[in-house]
Amino acid sequence: MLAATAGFINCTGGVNGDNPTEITRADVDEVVRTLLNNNAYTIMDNIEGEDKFGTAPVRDAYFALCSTQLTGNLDNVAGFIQKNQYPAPMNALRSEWGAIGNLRFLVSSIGSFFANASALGANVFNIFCVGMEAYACIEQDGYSASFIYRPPIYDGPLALNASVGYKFAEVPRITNDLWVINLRATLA
Amino acid sequence: MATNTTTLQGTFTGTGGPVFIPFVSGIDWLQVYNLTQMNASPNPHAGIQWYWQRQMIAGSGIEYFNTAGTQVLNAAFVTPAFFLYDSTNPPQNAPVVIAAGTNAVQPVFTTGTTTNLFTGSIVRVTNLATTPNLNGYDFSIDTIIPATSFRVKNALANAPGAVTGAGFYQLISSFGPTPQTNVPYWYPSNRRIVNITQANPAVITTSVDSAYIAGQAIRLAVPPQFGMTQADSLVVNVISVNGGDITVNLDTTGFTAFKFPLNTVYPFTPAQCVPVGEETDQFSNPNLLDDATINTGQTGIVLMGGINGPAGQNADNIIWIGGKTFNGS
Repeated sequence: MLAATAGFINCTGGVNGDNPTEITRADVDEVVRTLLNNNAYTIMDNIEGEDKFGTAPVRDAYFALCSTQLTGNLDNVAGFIQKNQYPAPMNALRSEWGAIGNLRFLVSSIGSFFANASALGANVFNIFCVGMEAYACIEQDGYSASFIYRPPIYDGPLALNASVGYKFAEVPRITNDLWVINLRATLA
Repeated sequence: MATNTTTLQGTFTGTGGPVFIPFVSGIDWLQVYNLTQMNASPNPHAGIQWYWQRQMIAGSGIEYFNTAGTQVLNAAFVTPAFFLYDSTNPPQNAPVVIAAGTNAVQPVFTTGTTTNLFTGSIVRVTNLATTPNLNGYDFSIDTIIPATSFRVKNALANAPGAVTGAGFYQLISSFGPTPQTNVPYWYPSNRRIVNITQANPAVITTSVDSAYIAGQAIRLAVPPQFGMTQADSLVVNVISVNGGDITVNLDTTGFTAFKFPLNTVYPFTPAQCVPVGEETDQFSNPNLLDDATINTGQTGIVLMGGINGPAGQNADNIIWIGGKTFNGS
């Protein structure tokens, strides 16, 4: 839903010759600046600095949701802080990869991308940069999804076959389009 | 008989093009009957009945037809006929070579292969050597000359700035313009703007037909490379829609002219319109979910059209019955 409907900004600060380019600090700064100008609230609180070797304080941050394919490129962005460099790594989320400026990146192996969609025909990865309450799922009739299993006894007198199925009753909705930006990037 | 089988049946009138039949629970077999051609004796012959089963190779089908000029029944195993289709995971069509393109507001791309292109199809162009400003854009197309060329349907504000060299196009909307017009499958989705008139009311042209409707609200994003920066971030209401043209309640007569970035401006973020809601007084009995984003994804099967296609020719009366079997594999 976010890939199809959220406004997007192409990464243009990179040097890979594509459009969008690979992600750079300038692109992150542009997204953060845009979300700040749109009065989006950050989701995560800051992590205060502590007197520990190799750590750095982490700003209050918006979430940036993206594919695990981008992890190598994120490592190379200026100012990237790995989550093991947080003063309190236990405050990092399981899927978190690190932070750049006011973005904390959460990665997923099923992160969104458009195949062959860049200027040079490469995959374009969507990085959804979201502020607090930027989007929501409205659950209808009191539930969002049901996974229904019926054991074989319901099949017939011989109880030979089980069945499974699922059904959804929910509506996704961007509650404020100014608080979510899709930062699009290719790989370096 | 095992449980958990389903059977659906229906009818449609052929248009000559492909037809999509949704099967929510999947499909393992399908029979199709062309009632119009059943009693005719056309020459050349036309198909009158088809059968498809999941184990058959992709795209194939069994066709029964009257021998040309007679009603003597014959049969053949043919391709293309039936294709399984999931609009949430559409087939990734291979890039096709573009030899060249014109420097015009509706560029014409020369290619030796126009297979499966229809008026209204959506193609993505990439790797264009001398017009990188067009690269990565999806375009609705028209004026298809078989095995020769196709044209961008919705006019850019200005020509891209150079005659296009070699590159590629990729068909995004498989199996014709309908019913798979929602690309991507969430509706309404954002669209890229290629022109905004200086007028009251202004007309916005998108690279792909938007399928928006009157009353919807859209936010405009117009980066500096596109000239009309006064329109950036404005929320406007849709007055009417005609293909790729969206008339909105915005007076742009005093704005800077919109321009499509020339081939020397690269890379950039495209101008875009983002659906953000609706003007509720345009709708009767509006409710909070009217402007929700809708998942239009469907699974089913595509019937190819034409004289020997199961979707038949224009005005053919066609009935079908198909279903899911418990032990299909």
